[in-house]
Amino acid sequence: MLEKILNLANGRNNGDGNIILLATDGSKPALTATKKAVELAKATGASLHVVCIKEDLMSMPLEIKGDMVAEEELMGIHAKGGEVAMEWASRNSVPATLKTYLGGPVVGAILDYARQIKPAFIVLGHAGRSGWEKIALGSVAEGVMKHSPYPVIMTRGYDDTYIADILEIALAKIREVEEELVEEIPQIPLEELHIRRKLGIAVGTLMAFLAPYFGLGALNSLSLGTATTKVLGDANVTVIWVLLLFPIGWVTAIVFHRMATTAEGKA
Amino acid sequence: MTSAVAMILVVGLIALSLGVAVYTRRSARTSSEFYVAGQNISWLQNALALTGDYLSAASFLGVAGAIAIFGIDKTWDGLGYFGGYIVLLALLAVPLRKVGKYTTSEILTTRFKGSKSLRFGGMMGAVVISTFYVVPQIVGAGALLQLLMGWNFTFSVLIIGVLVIAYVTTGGMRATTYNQIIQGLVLWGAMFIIMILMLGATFGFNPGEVLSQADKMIPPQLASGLLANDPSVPDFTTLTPDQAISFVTGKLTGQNTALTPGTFAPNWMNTMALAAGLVFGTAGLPHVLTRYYTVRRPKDARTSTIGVLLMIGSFYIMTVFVGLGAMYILYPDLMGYFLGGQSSIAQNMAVPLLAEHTGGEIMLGVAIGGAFCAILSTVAGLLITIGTTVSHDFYKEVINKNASDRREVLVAKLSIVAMGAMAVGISLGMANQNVSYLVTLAFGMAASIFFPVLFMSIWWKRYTREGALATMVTGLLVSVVFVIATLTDVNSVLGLPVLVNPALYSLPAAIIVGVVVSLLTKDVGDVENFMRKAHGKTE
Repeated sequence: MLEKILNLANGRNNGDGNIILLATDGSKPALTATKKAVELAKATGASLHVVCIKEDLMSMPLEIKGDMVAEEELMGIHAKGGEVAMEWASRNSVPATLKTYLGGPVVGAILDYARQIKPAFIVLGHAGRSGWEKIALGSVAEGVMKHSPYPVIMTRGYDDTYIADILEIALAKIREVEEELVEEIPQIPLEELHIRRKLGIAVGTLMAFLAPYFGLGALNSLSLGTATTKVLGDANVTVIWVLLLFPIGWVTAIVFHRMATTAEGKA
Repeated sequence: MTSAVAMILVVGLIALSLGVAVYTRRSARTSSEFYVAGQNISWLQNALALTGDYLSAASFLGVAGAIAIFGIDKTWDGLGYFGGYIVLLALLAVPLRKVGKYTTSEILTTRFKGSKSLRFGGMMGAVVISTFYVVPQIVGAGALLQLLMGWNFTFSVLIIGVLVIAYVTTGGMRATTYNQIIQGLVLWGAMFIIMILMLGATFGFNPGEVLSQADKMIPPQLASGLLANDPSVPDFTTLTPDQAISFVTGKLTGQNTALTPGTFAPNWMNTMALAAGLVFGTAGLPHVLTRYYTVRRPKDARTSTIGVLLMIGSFYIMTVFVGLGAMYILYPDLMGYFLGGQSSIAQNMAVPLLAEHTGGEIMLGVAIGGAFCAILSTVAGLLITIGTTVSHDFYKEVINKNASDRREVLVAKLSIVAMGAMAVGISLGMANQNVSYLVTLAFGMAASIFFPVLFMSIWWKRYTREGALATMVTGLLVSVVFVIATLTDVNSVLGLPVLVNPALYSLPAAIIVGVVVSLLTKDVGDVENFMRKAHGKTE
C-alpha cells in the first residue's frame, strides 16, 4: 500500500526521488507524526525534510491560550519540534534536512516548502481539536489536507506510551532552552545599569509620598492648632491634607513611571 | 438582617466563582499556569485583581465603619494601606517581576544560589504571615455572615472555606485572578453606589455638606464614653440624627468633633509605628507579592501598581465620605449600639446599615454582596500563595527534587486543601474571639521579614548571604518579641515603649543588623547576574 502511494506520488508530481516532508510544531500529536515519518522514511529508504514554523502563540484568544499553552509548555517551545525531529532521524540513521520559517501563515509555509522539494507525501499530526475550538483556530492539518497537491498522511491524537522515547528528547530540548535563557543575560558591566541613579529616583518617589504622609502624623500630634485651622468651608487643614494625599500618590506614581521608563531607556 | 436580595446576590456570586473555576480548569495543569497563570495576565487585569486581593472585609466594612465612629483619625489606616503600593512601585515591583518566577524565596535564591536556609526561611515566612492573615479573615467572615445573612458561624465559615478551596484548586491562579477581578469590581462598585445614593438622599450631592455636618458631630465612640453614666441620656433610637447630634453637642460642649485629628491617636510614636507597619508591611505581604509574578511584561508590574493606586485610592476617598456620612445618618443608631454595649456591631455594621437606610433591601443586598466579595478574593489570594510556596519551595526543593510538573501541581493542590482545612479548623476554634491582633502581627512581620531582605537584595551589591539571613532572623525575633509584649500588656522591652505595631523597631533593627553582618562577611552571591536581571532593560 505504502509502495503504491509512493509510486503514485512520484509519478504524478515528478518528484526527484524519495522525499518525505514532515511538518511539526513539537506538540504531542506532532511527535507522533515525527515517529511515524521517520519509521516510513527508514522503511522506504527515503530522506526526510522537516519543516517547522515559529508560530506566534500570543495571537490566540485568551481562553484557548490558557488551554493550549499548558500543553505546549509541557511539550516544549514550538520551534524545538524541528530539532527533536532531526535528532530522532539521526538516531534512526535517516538522512534529514531542517527548514524553519519565522512566523507567517502556517499552512501556506508548509505548502510553499512542499512545492520547492516535491515530496512523495506530507506527514503531519492532527491535534484532534473539535467543535468551536476548531472554528476559532482552524486546523493546520485540515488546511494542508485541503490544499496540498501532494498526498498527506495524518496521524490522529497521540498515545503517551508510543511517544515516550521521543518525548524524552523533546523534554531535554526544553531544558536546554531554559538553560540558554539563563545564560542569555547580556554581560553588560554593572555600572551601565545605573543602579544608583534608579535607586535615587525610587527613594525620591518614596519621599514624595512618605514625607507628606508622616508629616500629617507629625502635624496632628504636635500642632493641633494648625491642623484644625479651617481652610475651605468647614474643612480643616487635616481633612484637606488627607484628601490631597491620594492624588499626591497618583501624581507621584505617574511621574515615577515616566522617569523610570526614561532611565531604563538610557541603561 | 437577612434580605432576599442579599441571598440572591450571594448565591449568584458563589455560582459565578465556581463557573469561572470550571471555565479555567484546564489552565491548572502545569506549574506555571497553576502558580502564576502562565505569566500572562495583563496589567489592567492584574490591577483589578490586586484591588480585590488587597481590599478585604476589613477595608470594605472596617475602614468606613471606623471613620463612622472615630472620625477623621481613622483615615490614617487607609492612607497607610495606599502608601504601601507607593513603596512597592518605587522599590520592588519591576525587579520582582524580572527576577521572580513563582515565589518570593526565589528572588533570594537567585542571588544567593543554593541557600537552603533562605529558601526555607522565605517559605516559612510566607506560610506564617499568610496563616496569621487568613485566620482573622475567616473568623471575621464567619461573624459577618452570621450577622448579615443570619447563618450560623460554623456554616458561614465552612461555606467560605469550601468555596474558596474548590475554585482555587480547580482553576489555579487563573481562576483566582478572574474571580478577584470580578470581586474587586463588585466591591468597588458597591461602595460607589452606596456613596452616591447617600450623597443624593441626605446631602444634596454635595460632599462639602458631609464635611460641614462632620464638623458639628462628636464621634460616637467619644460621646458614648463620656455619656455612659449620664442619667439624662434619652433613648437614642427614637431620635432623628439632628436631634441626637444636638443633644450630644449640647451636653458636651467644647469636645473634639469628627474632624478634629488626634482624638484617638495616643502619641506620635504610636502613630509613626502604625504608619511604618502599614506602609512597609503591604510591600512585604506574600499574597500581594505573588500577584506581581503573574503579569506578562516587567513594565506591566509598574503600570498595574499605578492601576491599583487609582482603584484603592479612590476607594479610600469614598470611605472617608461614606464613613462621615454614616456617622451623621446613623448617629442615633450608633449611639444606641454603644450605650447598649454593642460597640463591635457599631463598627462593622455602619456600611450595611447605611446602605439599608438609603436604598432599602436592595442596597443592603449590594453591601452584603460587596463584603462577601471582599472576603472571598482575599482568602483565595492567601490560599494560593500558601499552596505555591509549600509545593514549589519545600516539596520540589527539599522532598522530591525530581518531581514531575504534574506532581508538583498536585502537591500544590493538596497543600491548599490541607492549609485551607487547617485555617478553617483554627477559625472554628476561635469563634467570636478578637483575632484582629493577628493581622497587626502579619503586617508587622511582613514589614520586618520580607520587605528589608527584598529591598536590600535588589538594591545593594555588598549585601551578603549571611547578611540576608541575619536580616530575616532579626526582623522575625524583634517583631515577635514586641507583639508578644503587646498581647501580654507589657509596657516596655529593654527600655523601649511597646507600640501598636512592632515595625518601628523591627524594620530598622533588621536593616541595621543586615548591613553590619554584610560588611563583616564576603559572600555577595551571584550579584552581577542578579543585578543584570533585576535592573537590566525592560523590553
